[in-house]
Amino acid sequence: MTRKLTLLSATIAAIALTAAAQAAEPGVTATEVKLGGSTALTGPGALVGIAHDLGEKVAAAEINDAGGINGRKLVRYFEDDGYVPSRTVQAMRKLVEIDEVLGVTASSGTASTIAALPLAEEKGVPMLQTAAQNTVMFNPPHKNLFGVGRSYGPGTTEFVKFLAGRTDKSAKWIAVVQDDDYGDDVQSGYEKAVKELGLTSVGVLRYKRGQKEFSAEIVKAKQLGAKMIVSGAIIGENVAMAKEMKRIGLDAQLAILWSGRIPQLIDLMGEAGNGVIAADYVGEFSDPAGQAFMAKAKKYLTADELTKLNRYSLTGYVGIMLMADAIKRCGQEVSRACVIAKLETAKDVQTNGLTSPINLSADNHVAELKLSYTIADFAKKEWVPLAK
Amino acid sequence: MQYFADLVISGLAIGAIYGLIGMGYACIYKATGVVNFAQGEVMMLITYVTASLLTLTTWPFWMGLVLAPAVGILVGIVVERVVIRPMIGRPSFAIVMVTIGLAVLMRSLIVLFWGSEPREFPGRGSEDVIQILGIGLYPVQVLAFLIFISAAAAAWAFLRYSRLGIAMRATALSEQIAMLMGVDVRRISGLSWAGAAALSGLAGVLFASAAYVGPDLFAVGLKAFPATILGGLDAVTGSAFGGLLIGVTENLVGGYVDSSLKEIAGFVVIIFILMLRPNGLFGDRDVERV
Repeated sequence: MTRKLTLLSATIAAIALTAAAQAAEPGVTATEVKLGGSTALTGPGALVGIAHDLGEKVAAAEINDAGGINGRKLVRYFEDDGYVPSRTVQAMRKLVEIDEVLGVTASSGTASTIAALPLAEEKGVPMLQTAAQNTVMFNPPHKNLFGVGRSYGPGTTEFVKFLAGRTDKSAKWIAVVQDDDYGDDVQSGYEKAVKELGLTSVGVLRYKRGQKEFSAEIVKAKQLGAKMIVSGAIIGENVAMAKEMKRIGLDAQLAILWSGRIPQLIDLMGEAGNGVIAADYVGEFSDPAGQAFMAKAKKYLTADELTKLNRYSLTGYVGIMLMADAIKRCGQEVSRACVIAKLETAKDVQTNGLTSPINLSADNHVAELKLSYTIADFAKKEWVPLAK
Repeated sequence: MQYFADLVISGLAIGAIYGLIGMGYACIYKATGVVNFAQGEVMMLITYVTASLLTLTTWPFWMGLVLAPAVGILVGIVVERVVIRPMIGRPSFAIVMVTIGLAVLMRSLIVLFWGSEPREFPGRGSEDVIQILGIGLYPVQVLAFLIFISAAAAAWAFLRYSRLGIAMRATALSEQIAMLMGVDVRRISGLSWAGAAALSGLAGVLFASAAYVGPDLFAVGLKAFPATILGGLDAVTGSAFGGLLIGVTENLVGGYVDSSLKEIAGFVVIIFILMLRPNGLFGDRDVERV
């Protein structure tokens, strides 16, 4: 009897100690795993932030419906940083110190990520950035920061090479880029491709972030004889450029990067945007994978929320899927350190066909996903896939 | 020469928008001595309301040009009555801070009510390009210029010949003396806010129909501020001219110097002009600056 009691007591003590040890690990309990994020849910940046949040919501609901991660329910904490880096730092402090999340799957943009990074590093919190991949975030590399998507520099180089394959060799090229880190990366990628392919570039025009009017840039491009315009702009700037090209009568190809490739862009550009070519690392909602995502979205989101989906919903979804894969591979011993270690060994992580498989390593914290190309079709009001 | 003409005409097209908004800034300052830093946001709000009304009624685009000033007058009166009038007698700095707060509030409310997605202006004008002297322009840009000329001429005539306009100038000169002369300065204040909002609303609808309606539209209002400083903070028609000058200067700098300097070109011009004429090109000498 005494031996049985001793054994029972020891077992209970062992369970209690294990539970205590488990409870001490931030963001993980026996029944839950907490993940956090902060993006702009208000202000002009909310177009990106809300869509991203909704994509994460779909992914989390799907995971929880399938039994969670190793039996633990995924709980999300999401903050609005208004695309203001100082607010991202506040949000990160709340997520890490008050909500005690295991990892962070979203921060607004480059500046916000860099601003929040010291706290994340201090606390050893794994961070994902799935919407923007600027060199400045990953060079030098940070132990706990991972990027999923396509670095702007190499992505632009690949895009220009794709475009060059479809263009007359004598065509003159020009790039119009924002005067920030994003623009720097696009410019370096453009210049690398121009050099490697021996293209004729008539210049790089840099504009102030937030500029609304592009007549001078497009008139100049026409004056220089440009036939290919590579845009390092986001959304509104691409609209303005396409419209100015039509007004000025510039018969050239406008090519845009994924950051501005939202469905609404075709409506906003109108007829002027017909034929604009875009590169992206996430697929279309009309693809089989996109349709499967939409079926899930219809199950988990409200009708109003469905209207707010765009490509950033897919990047949000992919981020949660990657983080869930890393947590799952930690088994029952989930910790921030373990998640970072598992992210560094992510191999061929599937995203239900929304992107190419994700691969990361200790030396490479940015998963360079495969680009696909689409062309704006104003009549159909959609981005139509282009054959390579 | 064609290159130069393209840059100038394009600059005039955007300058007309700056000019309309700039007239709004000056209209308020002239009558009340307040710099309204929410002018861009007021413009954005009126544009959103007008776009929603057009969507609901399925009225044609040109009705937006009638609705925008009407909505603008309403918005201007409400803002003046609810936000500005209770601040009468307070230091100018406090009122300016209130307009900054109003700007932030309006930006948030717009995203709350209309969402953050940019959208096309309903029934936006024809996308066919009109050739004028070999230079392409969208019909709405031609329309914007004609409206700008009409508004500038009307403002000049109003201030010079109408009783209300003269009362407004008297109020600008001295509020106390104007009151002693029987001018209802509160009415003048309300009128200036209504007029400024109407002008901004027109500018917003014209710009949005050529571009899009989005929660970053307020930035166009910020660009019009240098136009007002250049023309003279208390000079309504001068601010209109300042808008054209800023639009053309930006384009010439972008075209001939460096496109990255385009956005700051207007501010550089202001520095030089203000060094020579501290009250702007057409401003009165006794302007109190904030």
